[in-house]
Amino acid sequence: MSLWVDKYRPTNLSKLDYHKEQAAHIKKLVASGDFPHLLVYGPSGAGKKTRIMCLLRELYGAGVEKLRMEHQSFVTPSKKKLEISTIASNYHIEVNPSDVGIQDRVVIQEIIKTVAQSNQIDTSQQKDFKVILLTETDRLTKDAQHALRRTMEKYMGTCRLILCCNSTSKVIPAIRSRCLGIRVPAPKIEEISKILVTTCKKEGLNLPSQLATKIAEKSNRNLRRALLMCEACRVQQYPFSADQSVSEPDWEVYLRETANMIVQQQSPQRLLEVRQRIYELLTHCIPADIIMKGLLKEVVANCDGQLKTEITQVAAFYEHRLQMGQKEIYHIEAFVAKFMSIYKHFLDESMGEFF
Amino acid sequence: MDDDFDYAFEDELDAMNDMEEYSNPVISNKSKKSLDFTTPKSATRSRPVKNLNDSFATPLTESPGVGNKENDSNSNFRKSKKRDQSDMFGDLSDDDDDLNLKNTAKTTDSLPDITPQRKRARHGTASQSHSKKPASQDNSIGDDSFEITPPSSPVAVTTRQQNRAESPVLSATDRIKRLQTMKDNFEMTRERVLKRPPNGQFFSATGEGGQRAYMTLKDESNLEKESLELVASSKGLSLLGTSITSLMNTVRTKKLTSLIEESTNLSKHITGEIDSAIAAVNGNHSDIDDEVVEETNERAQHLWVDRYAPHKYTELLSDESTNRTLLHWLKMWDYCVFNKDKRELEKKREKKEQQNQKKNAAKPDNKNFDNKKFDFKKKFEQNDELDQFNRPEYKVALLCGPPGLGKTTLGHIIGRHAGYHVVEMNASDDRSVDAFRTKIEAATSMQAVMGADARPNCLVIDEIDGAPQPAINILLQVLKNTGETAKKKKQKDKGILRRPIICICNDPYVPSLRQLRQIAMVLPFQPPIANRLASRLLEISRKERLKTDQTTLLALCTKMENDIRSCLNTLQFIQQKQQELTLRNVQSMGIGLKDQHKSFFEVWKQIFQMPKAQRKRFVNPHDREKMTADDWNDTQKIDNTSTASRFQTVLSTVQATGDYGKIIQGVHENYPQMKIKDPRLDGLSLANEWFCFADLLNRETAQHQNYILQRYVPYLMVTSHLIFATNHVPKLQYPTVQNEITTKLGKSSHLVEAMMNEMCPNTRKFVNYNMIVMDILPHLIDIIQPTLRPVNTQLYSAREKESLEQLIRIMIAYNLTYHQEKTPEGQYQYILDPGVDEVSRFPGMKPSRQLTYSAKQVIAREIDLEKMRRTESHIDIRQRRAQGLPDDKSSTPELAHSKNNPNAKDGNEHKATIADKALDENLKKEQLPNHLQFLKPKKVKEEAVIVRDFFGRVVKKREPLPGQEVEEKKNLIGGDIWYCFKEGFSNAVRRNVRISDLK
Repeated sequence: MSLWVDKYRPTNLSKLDYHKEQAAHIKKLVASGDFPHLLVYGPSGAGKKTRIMCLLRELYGAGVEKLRMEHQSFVTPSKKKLEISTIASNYHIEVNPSDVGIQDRVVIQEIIKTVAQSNQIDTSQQKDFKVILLTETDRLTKDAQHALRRTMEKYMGTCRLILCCNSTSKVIPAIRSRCLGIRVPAPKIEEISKILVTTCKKEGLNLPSQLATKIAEKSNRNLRRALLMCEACRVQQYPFSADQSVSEPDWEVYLRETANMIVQQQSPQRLLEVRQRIYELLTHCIPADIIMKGLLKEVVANCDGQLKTEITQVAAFYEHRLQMGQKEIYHIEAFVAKFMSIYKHFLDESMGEFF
Repeated sequence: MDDDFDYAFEDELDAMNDMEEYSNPVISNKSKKSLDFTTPKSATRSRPVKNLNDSFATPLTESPGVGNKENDSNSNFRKSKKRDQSDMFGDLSDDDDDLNLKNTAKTTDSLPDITPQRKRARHGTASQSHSKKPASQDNSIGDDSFEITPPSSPVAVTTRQQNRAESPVLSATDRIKRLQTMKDNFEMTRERVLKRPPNGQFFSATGEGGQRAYMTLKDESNLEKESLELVASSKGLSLLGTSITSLMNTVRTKKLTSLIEESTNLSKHITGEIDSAIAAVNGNHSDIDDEVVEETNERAQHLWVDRYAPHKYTELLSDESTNRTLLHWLKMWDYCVFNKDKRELEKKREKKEQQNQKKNAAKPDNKNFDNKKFDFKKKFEQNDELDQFNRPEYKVALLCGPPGLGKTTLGHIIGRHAGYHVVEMNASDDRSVDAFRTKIEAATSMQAVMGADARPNCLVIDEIDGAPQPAINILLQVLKNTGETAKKKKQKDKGILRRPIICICNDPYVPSLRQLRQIAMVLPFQPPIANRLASRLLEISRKERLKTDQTTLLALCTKMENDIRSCLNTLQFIQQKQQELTLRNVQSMGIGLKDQHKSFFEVWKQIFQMPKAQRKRFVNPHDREKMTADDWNDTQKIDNTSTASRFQTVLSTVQATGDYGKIIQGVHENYPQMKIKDPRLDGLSLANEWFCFADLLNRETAQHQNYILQRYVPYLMVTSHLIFATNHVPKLQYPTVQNEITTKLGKSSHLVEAMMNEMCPNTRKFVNYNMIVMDILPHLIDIIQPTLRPVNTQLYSAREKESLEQLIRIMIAYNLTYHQEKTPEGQYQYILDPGVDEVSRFPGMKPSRQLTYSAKQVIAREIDLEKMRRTESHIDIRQRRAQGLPDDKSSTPELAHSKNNPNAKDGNEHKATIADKALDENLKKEQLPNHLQFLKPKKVKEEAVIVRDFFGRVVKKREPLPGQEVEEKKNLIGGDIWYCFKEGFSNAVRRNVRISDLK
């Protein structure tokens, strides 16, 4: 309750700042007292979780905000011990099954079944179902997703599932068809800057609109990041000035520099340097697909128009392999090497024409 | 030559002898001939020694006369043999000053009855085996069976078959003869119609012409028999000149004779071949090892490895210097084991030094050469020092080397050679701690008193690299026992190792051997020289009648990497199948190829380095399909630099090594440093594609246990070889990066998880792992480091106080705090805990502002205080609930805020905490916390006790007059009498007496 992000997070559907129409829809949906399984998806920092919590509050009242953290442990069929932390109130439980990696199926089976099989005691006063909130559904393994299918239908009477993910492309169609999809798009830049200004006003600060727009642009339409950036700016320098520098996360800068290194020079030695930097990123817990994406974005921006499609295609190829493979470094490096090769060919050809 | 022949065809000769004996059993003494075979035995005994004498010029020589003497007769065979060995020992002592092996003689001296006994035992067995044979042959005469000589060659089998078949043939001809005589008899009887009456019963008849004829009467049964026989014989006589049975018999005999002819031809052919081979190699091989002859009967049952195992020190094939060093070490034990005089050693040393000095003075140029030649000697010369128990410096020898080189054999032979009884202990024995201890104790501290073998023990621990660590610790304990601890326990000399121990292992770098390696004399075992091994193999194959030649065997040795055991096994295997081994066989055969287990560095080197052009001795059998028959002749011309062969070599090496994961890592980490010509980086991207492919395979294998896919992984290494191999020697590094990365990654993810686990649930529900790492942490680190005035917090303005409070709240919500740590330099520092700042910081980026030490201290204190306050408020709520008081909404700040609208939240929260504090204080006043409560003494009320006397009357206390009382008190105080209790004193009452009063 302390960072601006948390402090000024709306807790009521009617208090939401944008996508108000959608909020009204959700309100109506809940007002009937019942709703189907939901699949909430949208980019990071768009407000999915905020909307879900608003929805739950609308449904159960303030009781859902009495939260407790529980650490549950399971034993897999292969006698491996797993631990997972859940956040639960009396009315709902939130789990991130992908925390346990490839064993997520066990979590799905165990937790959901235990929760779903127990009925509410007093149905006259309470809703006759609980809500299970599964986050990062797109990171679930196929096994786990299949385990989910039947559970969703079987325990419809006692529980509702709300799935939360960034992209539906990694959710199997069987699950998608069982849920009501709610897409939460990223807020527009104007919306973000408006929110920044109002937040600062609540804090008793004066935020120049130029700076607000600048932050909003830098944030990549991620409201959370925008608010954090804004607060960081406040710590850095107050009163704000319009041309204040907005600090970016280190890893983004680092990644961009790495991408530039690839474009600058193509040689095995450079590949080795790049590998060191990628290792550095990986050890700082940056996901490999984010690295891949970041590299591609920078590389494509810096290379010739002719190559853009080819490189993007190559990147897509290696990204796919990355998802299938085990060791990320091989795939990222393979992409880098491939790019180097393509770029070198291109340079040689264009030079040949030149001479 | 004749002897040679005899040996080589001993089997046949035996069989033929038997046949002869069968046909005319009278000449039974001919079987004694087999004893003649043993005659050259004594000659062979001396042979290796002679060889040694010639080739190595070692001191282990003997007088040349001995060999001749031995040759002369059977009768003094044993005697000469004895002489032989004792001569060996004796001669050792005579002229071995140079090599410091004089001890051998002393051994025999000090143990006069040991060696002869041993010999006797051995001769006993030898003679037994000799005496057995004639006996069994004698049996065979009676039995008409051929049990004594199991078939060892087809020739022998055929001869025997022939022999067996012969008996029916003989009987058949007999029958024919008998039949013929019968026929004659019959005809004669027909003619015997007599004109005169014969003697005995007769029958008379009168002819037409009135002549009288008489016929002798015979028994009717007799007649019947004769008639039957007549019928039988007349059948055979009917159409052909001879009977069908006899015809068939002749055919059979013809067949047999032709078979015999064939076999004799064959054997003649072979003999011719072998003779020529012998002539070609060396005309001087008139002598042959005795053991071969001895055990011909068991030939088929024994492995060659056992049969041709060396029995004497001089027969060892292994590296001479290793043998010497080990023997020398073992001889050092003599001073301890056999109570040899220590002074002799010193004398000898002095003598040697003098000699050395002389030598050096005489030819100073050769000094270096000498040193080099006797390197091994030099190495251990300084170790001649003995310890207090006359033991050598190293208590244990550790022989290490690849399998099949004869380490175990060496251990046994040297032990025996030095006059010990070898006790072996290997992996097949129980090697638990207890078993190990008892075994070591038994072997090192006990000695057989009874029985023929009363020599001291020498423990050979084989395959020690597989023994468990605790067992090896026992050994170490025994080795390190210097007797000092034993003395303390008043157990003199107990537990001190007094016998040599030889340990044998393949890999000395096994972790469990680490300590042993430091205190042991480590002898790395070198494979024998290929030429020497090949000539020994040639010798053996000649004895086994396997046709081959030196070049072939050399090729075989190379293929086997000079592994004696597998060479012999291969030879024996081939001998079972065919009679000869040619170069082509060796080249083409799949057998005998050892799994080459190379170290990782060798594998990587092979991947990154072009092979040097080399003539190939053999071809990988996997290539065979690709080669036509003509190619076989060209195998020698195929160079190993061609792509195909490079492909095969790398592939087979990698496959043999097996640990693909590690190899891939090594390749991956080393390839960017290779200097290859790849202007467009095509190779680079291709190799990387292969890495991805291998990764996919590994993933698939791991996930679905599809191990069949593993077979495609090694092709990655082949590809990288074809792409990256250069002619330079590559500088390789052991791949450690990936491990480092894994640990680092584990560490940072652990930090983030630690942070997440203890987060405030209301904050926690809105974040996830990736969000924290990518969005929140980088900014959070900035946000929690605001500018704070370096003054006391009491002096902060309201706004500053508020921002500080907010900072505290943030840090608590995200489970962060500072804690004090001492740096290695001795300075104290406040460090973020959990240290998630490490996760968000990258090297080379501009470092973020750091708060000052004092600021961090303030924050840490405030965080602690705030946490305490919160827990207190929680306790309050609980207490109030317990007391049945209604919940005060304002006392649960978080709930209260959540109900208020977010806009007014902050202010409310602040007020709420203040309200909380006020409430707390009230509570404190009302109800002191437990630790502040003291026990107060209860006031005792005095009650007027009315004292009554016996009759119930109230007794009035006699109240003293106030003046009196005071006076009495004064007297008491003023008096000098006081009481003092002193322990041990009886006069407890004292009185001060002043000197003035005494006057």
